[in-house]
Amino acid sequence: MVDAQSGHEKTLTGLLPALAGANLIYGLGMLESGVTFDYGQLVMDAEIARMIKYVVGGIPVRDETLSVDVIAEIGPFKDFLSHEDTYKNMRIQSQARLIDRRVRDDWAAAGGTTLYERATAEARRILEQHEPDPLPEGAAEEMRAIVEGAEKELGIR
Amino acid sequence: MRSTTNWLSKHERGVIYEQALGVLETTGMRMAGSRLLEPLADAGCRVDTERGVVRIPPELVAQALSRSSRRVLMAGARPERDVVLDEGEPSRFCVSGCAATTLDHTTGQRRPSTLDDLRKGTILLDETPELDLVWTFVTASDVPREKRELFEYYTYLTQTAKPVVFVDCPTALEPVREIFEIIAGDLRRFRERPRVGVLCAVRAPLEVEANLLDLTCDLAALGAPVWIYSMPISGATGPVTFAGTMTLMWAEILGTLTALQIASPDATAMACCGPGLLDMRYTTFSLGCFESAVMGAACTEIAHDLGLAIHTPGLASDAKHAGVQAGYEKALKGFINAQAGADSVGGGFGFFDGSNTFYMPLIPIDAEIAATIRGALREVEVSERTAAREMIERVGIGGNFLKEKETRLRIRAGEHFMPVIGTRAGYDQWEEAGKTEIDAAIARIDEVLAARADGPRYLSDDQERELARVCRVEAAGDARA
Repeated sequence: MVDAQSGHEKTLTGLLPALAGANLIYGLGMLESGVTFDYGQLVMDAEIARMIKYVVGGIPVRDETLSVDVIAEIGPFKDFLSHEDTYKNMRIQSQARLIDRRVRDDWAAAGGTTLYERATAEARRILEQHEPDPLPEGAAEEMRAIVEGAEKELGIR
Repeated sequence: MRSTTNWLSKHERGVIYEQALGVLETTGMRMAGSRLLEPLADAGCRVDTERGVVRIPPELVAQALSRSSRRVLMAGARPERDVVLDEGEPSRFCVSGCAATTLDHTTGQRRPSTLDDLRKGTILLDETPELDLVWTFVTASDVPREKRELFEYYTYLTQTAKPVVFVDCPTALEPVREIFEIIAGDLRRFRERPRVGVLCAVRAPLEVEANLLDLTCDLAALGAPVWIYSMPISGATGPVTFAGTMTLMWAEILGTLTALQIASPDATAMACCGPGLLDMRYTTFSLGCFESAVMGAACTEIAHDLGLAIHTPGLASDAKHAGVQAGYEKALKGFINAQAGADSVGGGFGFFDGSNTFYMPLIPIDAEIAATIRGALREVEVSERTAAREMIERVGIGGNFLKEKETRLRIRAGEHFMPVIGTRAGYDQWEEAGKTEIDAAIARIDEVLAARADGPRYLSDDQERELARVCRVEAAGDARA
């Protein structure tokens, strides 16, 4: 089932090869050593894949990211939230889509859903609303004709 | 075979250190009202007495670092429970601090934490081998405020043999000095084997509260290792850039360390880097974010370059229940920090909700996560013998290795990690057993608490009696029951 075990195993089995530089990491959506597939798990795994890519990207250390001027300008025990630099750069933070970072009371007031419930709802939304990019005109008919020709040749129909 | 990573280049580590020194020299730290202002001025700092701001020249920071030891001993009640934080030692795991609320696994309700949570949690942590250090992890809100602090100390020190860190700094020196004497025999022996450390948390940005700083210096002079904790919130109490947040963190740690070393020369101190970020969607503090993990790993490299031991909150999670988010965040953060070589990895073992809520069933679950992290980081022997070519050729094409003697021997010796809380059973077997990992964790809690009904005593009768007197615990049952 989708639970803390799947969370921690998938993180470790995804992060370690990513840090080692693996070219391809698979297993999104799979549970029970690949025997079972779960749509909610797939959507959650996409979130952890985003995290892992972000982690492997590291932290840029440059004059402008060291923010020394901003630290000096703010000084002791004030806040950085209202500073222009925060507004300009806040999108460098990860943008979690499913992970909930609200305080507990706000989370409970909003329904207290689990990550799996949110992920499953997102999977349903994708399946209901997804519209694939259309194939070039005539491509579907041409492929159908190839399949039917092969079936005829093999005596399937 | 062993994993190694580098998060910062040597040049980048140097840049952050130099910029932190620059912040201390030009902007300084506020220590308003501290008795240290005068000795800091005498030592060469530029002190603005009116504002309480201390500007620290780089050479004083360098002196403080040269007096600080990389090795930190946190002594247990018994030598086998000692924890040494040093080069060549593995990452140690510890709990988080002072949760005011507990999610009660018997009712499913979140409520204020109690002394019973503290006592049972301490027993469970004591019996959890993956956990090395105990922080004062919950606030016993059912104990009157004037008695609470000392009641809590009594309970921790009687219920665990592991080293203890006082997270909320004590309010008064005298009872704590007596506690040190009682548990060690005398202050000389406490200095040699400090069973208690204290945490000194900086208020970001760049301020350390005077009473806390002064008392921390007093306790350091008695031999208590000091855990200097900086935890700016990127985008709120720290710059939004992560390199800037690290620069601020190191300015705070080095400034506090310098003040400490000037007040109490040769104090034992270590760095604690717990950066979070302000989640701009909800404007809430996030400690479970992986940015915190990456900054923790990067700061581990800086700390070790500077010759300091370091703690990071590697098992923190923002999850509100023990579900898949908790698993993701704890594994990601814990592994990154332990792999970087953090000397102490905390934030977890029973905690989620940004380390604000204690949930006892998470202790066995977090223990399993810690065990898998240790397993992933252990040294794997790669040699002609372990490459097993002879066995592969003997078994041949299409054979199996299960019946091989080597398989049996190595499985028994622990070659493969075996989960206790997690499951590897087939789906049908798992379904038939009808047990989730929370059920398994609760069963573990019940088993441990039942077995400790007549549990070990870590202090002699005389020590316990003296400790009860100093802690104003009228009857031992007050804090043990």
